[in-house]
Formats: sequence, structure tokens, C-alpha cells
Amino acid sequence: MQRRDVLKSLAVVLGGAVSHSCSQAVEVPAAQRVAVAGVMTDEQRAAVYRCADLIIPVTDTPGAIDAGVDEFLDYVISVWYQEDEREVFFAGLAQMLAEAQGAYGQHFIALKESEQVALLQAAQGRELTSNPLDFGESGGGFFKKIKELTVTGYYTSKVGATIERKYVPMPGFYDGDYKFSEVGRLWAK
Amino acid sequence: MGKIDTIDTTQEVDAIVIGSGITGGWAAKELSEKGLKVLMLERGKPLEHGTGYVGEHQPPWERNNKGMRPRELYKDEYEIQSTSYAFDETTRHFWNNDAQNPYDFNEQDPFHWVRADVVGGRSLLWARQSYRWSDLDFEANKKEGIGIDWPIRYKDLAPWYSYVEKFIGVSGQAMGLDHLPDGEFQKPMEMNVVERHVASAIAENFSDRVMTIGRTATLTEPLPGRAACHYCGPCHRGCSTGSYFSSLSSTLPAAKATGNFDLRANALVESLEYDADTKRVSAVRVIDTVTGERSRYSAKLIFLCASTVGSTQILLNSTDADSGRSFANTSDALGRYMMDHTYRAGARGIIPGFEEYYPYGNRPNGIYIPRFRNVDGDDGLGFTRGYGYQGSAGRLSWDTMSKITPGFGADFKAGLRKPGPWYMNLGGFGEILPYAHNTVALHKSKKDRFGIPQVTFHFEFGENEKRHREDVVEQAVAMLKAAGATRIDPFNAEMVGGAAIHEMGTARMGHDPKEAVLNAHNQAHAASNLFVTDGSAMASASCVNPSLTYMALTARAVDYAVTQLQAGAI
Repeated sequence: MQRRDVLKSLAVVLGGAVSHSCSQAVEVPAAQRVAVAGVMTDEQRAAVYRCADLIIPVTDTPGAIDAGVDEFLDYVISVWYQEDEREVFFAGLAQMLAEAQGAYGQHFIALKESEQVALLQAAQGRELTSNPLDFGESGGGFFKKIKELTVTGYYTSKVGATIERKYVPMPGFYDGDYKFSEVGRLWAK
Repeated sequence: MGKIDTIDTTQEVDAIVIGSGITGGWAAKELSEKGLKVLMLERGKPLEHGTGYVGEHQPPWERNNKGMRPRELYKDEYEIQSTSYAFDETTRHFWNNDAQNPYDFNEQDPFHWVRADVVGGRSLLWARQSYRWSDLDFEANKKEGIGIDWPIRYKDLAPWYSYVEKFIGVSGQAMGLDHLPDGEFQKPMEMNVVERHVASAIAENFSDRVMTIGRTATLTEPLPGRAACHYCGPCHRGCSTGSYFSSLSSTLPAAKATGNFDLRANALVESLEYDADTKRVSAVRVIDTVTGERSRYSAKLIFLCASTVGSTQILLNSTDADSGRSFANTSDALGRYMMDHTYRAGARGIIPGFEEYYPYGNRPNGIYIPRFRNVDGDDGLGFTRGYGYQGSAGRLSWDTMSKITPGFGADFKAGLRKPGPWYMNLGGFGEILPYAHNTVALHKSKKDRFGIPQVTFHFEFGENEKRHREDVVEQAVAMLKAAGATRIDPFNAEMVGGAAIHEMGTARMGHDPKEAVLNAHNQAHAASNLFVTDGSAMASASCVNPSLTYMALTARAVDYAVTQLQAGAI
């Protein structure tokens, strides 16, 4: 999908500009939640971390895992997620891991990068909607969830704020005509 | 202190101020500077300027819960407060806990009572927009036969606006408009390149309207003890440099400096005791929210500045044992005529171009389009009074762009390094008329943890509000179109009373004790030593943000009260 197509409906773009799909999930009392420990197996965790680094890879700046997104994912998936969100997440992950076995006869994390990318693209393809900001009641499927979590964890990390973006905690003044070329990246605040 | 356990009072305190927010701070400053011994009672927790702002300048990677909102906690304990844009983990310690201090909320008739629970009150959390009223506002009720006539006019308040503005520091652009009078401005903040583009387009296409930078109580020039703004952005986390006005940064230090001021936090006022013979408030009943201990204080002057709902609750709960009626309610107006502003209607649009620009710094202020409807007579649009717009232009960032950009990997990451397109947002704040059926009342059975009746609300929007909101949306779209916006997104969200956090009017001013709770000097018709100077005093709502007017009314009321006291008339 081209960005300009996506931007066609501004209701879609700006209506969701400040809302986190994560925060729209249906509330479930804490007592009904599963225990925190042992939510992910080592293999699931390794696959989830690998997906994060495929989404935000190392380039001229560090990638997701170097920025500590692994800890962020552990926290959100194990502690912050409600059970319905966790079920959706792991169902989608299981499907992708099963496809890895089916197509290549190996676990996802043992595959070549191009094969992993193809599987993650297939997961993305299953969740394409006409409205990219339609995350549904449980905040989208596995792909939308891992992508949103990786991006959020990355840009709010110290690496994401100070290396990928430019962090200026005390700007001192406001310049409404400042040139993007002077900074070359997003501001963090 | 004037703490008393028996009727045999010794008035060691000259004045009691109830509430430490934006008006309580002003009352305390003015009273103590005039030489009165002042005791301030604040229901909220203690909070120190500077050290109490634990979320200030907190980098994104050091947030609680890795930056994720603790959803269950918010649902269980902050269900109302967490609806505010300013509520998050960097500010939660300022806010009321809705589970601990509840009110009667029901989904069918929702009203959002947004309140702080610390010394400083909502002066810490306000959005700082500061506009003067004009006679277009003060004369409207009388001209239209709506509500009751204001007992004052602009000339009565103008010198007090100046007095307040010079102390709090208001930055803004003088415009020479009769219906939005200029103030004592510090140099204005600047509009960014796209806001200036939109302003030019509006000026070229609409002869009746103009867009300017917001007038805000954020310093662009230093004042004693307070630095000019450093543009970090989220003022509501607290500002240890005092660059925005709050009672903690400004009026309370001034009061303390007199040596005449004492503050008691965790001091919840339950009710006022009234002496019908002398027509005075004889005592203030206080509950310590930590120990539960009850005490009583007396003073020559009582300034009730507990916020619109808080003050009205105290007055409603100050009942005569025989009649069961509040002593202050000579008029049946107490608790009625609740107003707010309409909010969350307007439009947003993408402004193409300007992609080489990317503003530096986080300006804690937006633009303002002053009211242009029904200014010179009735425009024949099917509604009376008007609205103003607030908004801003900015560029979309990673949080939105990541969701609308498909794919992942190195190209995706590289794409997010550039900001997205410019957008312009225009949101209307409209005047709500005073309706007798919009009320705050004491619930018949529900009580809080101290046995005080909870408040309950009834709030309806009328046809006038619905009609002006349609115009708010239409005109926002028209102005964005004139500015060349694409992908325009009109919005008109469901209205909820209190959501603009401009609730006011439930103890209104007026000449006639049969119609109003307070006189032209915010003095209770029923009690000569009682002054109520917060938003409850308002007889109409205007469409501009109200806090500056509350402050001016407070300073004016103190001047009158002390003069009367010295003359022996109180």
C-alpha cells in the first residue's frame, strides 16, 4: 500500500494520532489474568526478539534489541497485556512458527534472514486492512502488535530518543521556522 | 491560630482562605499583603514547589511501567481524572483519586469533575490560556434576557485584569479588538511557519476573523523569582523555574513572604457555620483527611475558593438545622446554572508543503481565533453568543507515521527518521448558556469516607450549544480549505459536561438576593464576611478561558473586603 493511499482518509490518520491502540483494549480484572511467570518459552522469546530486530534492524544506528526493546517486550507481553491480547499475540506467533516448520522444516530462529522476512511479510499480509489504524478490540493481530510494540519500545528507549532521534530536554527557545536539514532526524522530548 | 472547640471563640486569625488553587492563592496573597493574618485550608496533600514535581523533565526512557499506562489502576482509581490530556504517570500524584474521593457518577447523565488533590490545586494543571472578558460578555445576559444581569461591567474589572496580568505574566499579541481587550502583555510567543500561512489565508478570505498566537500565563520575559520559559513542553508536570503561573510558584510564595500566612494541607472543609443573628459565618468545620480529627476555625473574613464544585458542595452542606436549607441559598440559585464550555468540535487537515521546516523547541501554547459570531448584533445563524478556536500546526511523528507506513526493516526505519506532513488543528471553545436545570446537588444517601454527602450532577446541552457546534465545525473546515488543507477531518465528539474543565456558575453573582448567591463584590448576600471568588461566581460563561477573570475577581473582592472590614462594615 502506498503512503498516499493510506493518507486519503484523514479521519484515519489524525483521529488515531495520539491514541494508543494498546490502551483501547477491553479491561479485565487482575484476578482473572494469568500468572506473570513463564508466559513465553525460550523459543517463543527468541522468535519475538528476532522479529523486533527485523522490524527495526541495525543500520547506521542501533537496532531494536541493542536499544533494549527485548526488556520492553518482556514487560508488555508478560505483565501489561491482558489475557485476550496475549492470546491473539501467541496465536499469530504460533502460526508464523508453524509456517516456518512447514516451509523450511526448521525453527524460525534458525532460518536465513530472507526466509524470516518472508514469513513476517506473510504475517503482515494476513492483517492488511483498508484502515491501517484499525487495530480492533484487542489491538490487532500478532504482526500489528509486534510492530507497534517494537516501534514504541524503540523510539521511547534511550537509544531511540538520543541516537535515532535528537533529544533536547531544555531547548531554551522556540523557532517555528527551524530547518529540518539542521537536525536531520526527529526531535525527542 | 483560631482553632476552637467551643462557641467561645478567640479570633486570632483575621482571614481563612479555603482552597489553594488559582483563586485561593490570589486571596491569600492579597489578604496577607494587606496585613491580615491568613490561614489557608487545603483538602489536598502537601506539595512543595520544585521538589514536588517528580515528573518534570523526566526522559521517555525513565517512565514508570516502561511508559505504558497502567490501565487497571486508571480504571479502578482514576476513571474520571485519566480522561484528561494532562493525566499520566508524570502527573498522577497531583490528581484526585476517584475511588478514594468519589462523586455520584452515572453513565446516563455523565459529568466529568476533574480535580487536583494537592496544594496548588488545578493551578498546577491548567492550560494557562488567559483572555479578558469584554462588555460583549458582561452585557449579554441583560440584552438577551438570559439568566440574570451581571452586577459588574468591564470597567469594574479592567484595572484588576491589569493588576493580575502584571503579576502572573501573560505573553500575547495586542490586537486592538473591543471584544477581546488587550492586556499587559509580555512579548508574544511566535507562530510557526505553517500557522502564519494559515493566519494569512484566514485574513485574506474572512474579513470578520483573525488568527493570533495564544495569550498564555507562561513567561517570555523573567519576573522576580521566575525564569522565562525554556520550552521543554509539558508544563502540567510542574515547572521548577516558575515559568508558568501557578499558586505554588507565585502567589503562595508572595503570601509567605509577608509573614502573615499559614497553610494547613490535608484539611477538608466540611461546612460553614452560620449565625443568623449577625448574618456572618461564625466557624469553618474542618476534617483532617489523615487522622480524621475534626476541628473548627473562625475568622473575620472567609474566602471560599475551593473551585466551583468544591465551594458549592461546602455551601450546600452548610444547612440550617430547622429548614434543612443552606444559609447561602436565599435565591434557589445555589447549585443551579452550571456552565462549562463546548469542546472537542472542529476540524483538522493536512497542509501540503513546508517540508523543509521542522520547529525547534516545544512551545506550550497554540493559536487563537477570537470570537467572530454575533459580535455586532445577531448574525441570524440560529444561535446566540459565540465561540473561539484554539489549535496549532505541527508535523506528524513516529507514533502516527509508523502505523500508516506499511512494512518493516531498514527502509521503514529510515522513512520514520523524517517527520510526516504538516497538519493544522482548529478546535472550538463555545459559550454554554446558564440553564436552571444544569445542577450540582448533594446526593440524598451517598456519602464520602468522612460522612459528607457526595455531589451529583445533572448536565444537558441545549439547542444553542448544538447549533453553534455545527457552525464551529463548518467554519473550521472552511478556514482550513482556504489555507489549502487537504484530507480535512471534521470532528464533533460527544459532549460531556465538565470535559472542558471550565465548570462554573453555581453560586452566581447578581444584584438581587432573591436571584443570586453573591453580590457585585463576590460577597455572599446572606453573610457579610463570606466571599466566594472561584468559578462558581459566574453569571455567564463567555467563550474565553475563565481563570484570568477568576483571579481578577478575587483581587478585586479582597480589596473591597478589607476596605469594608477596616470601615467596620463587616
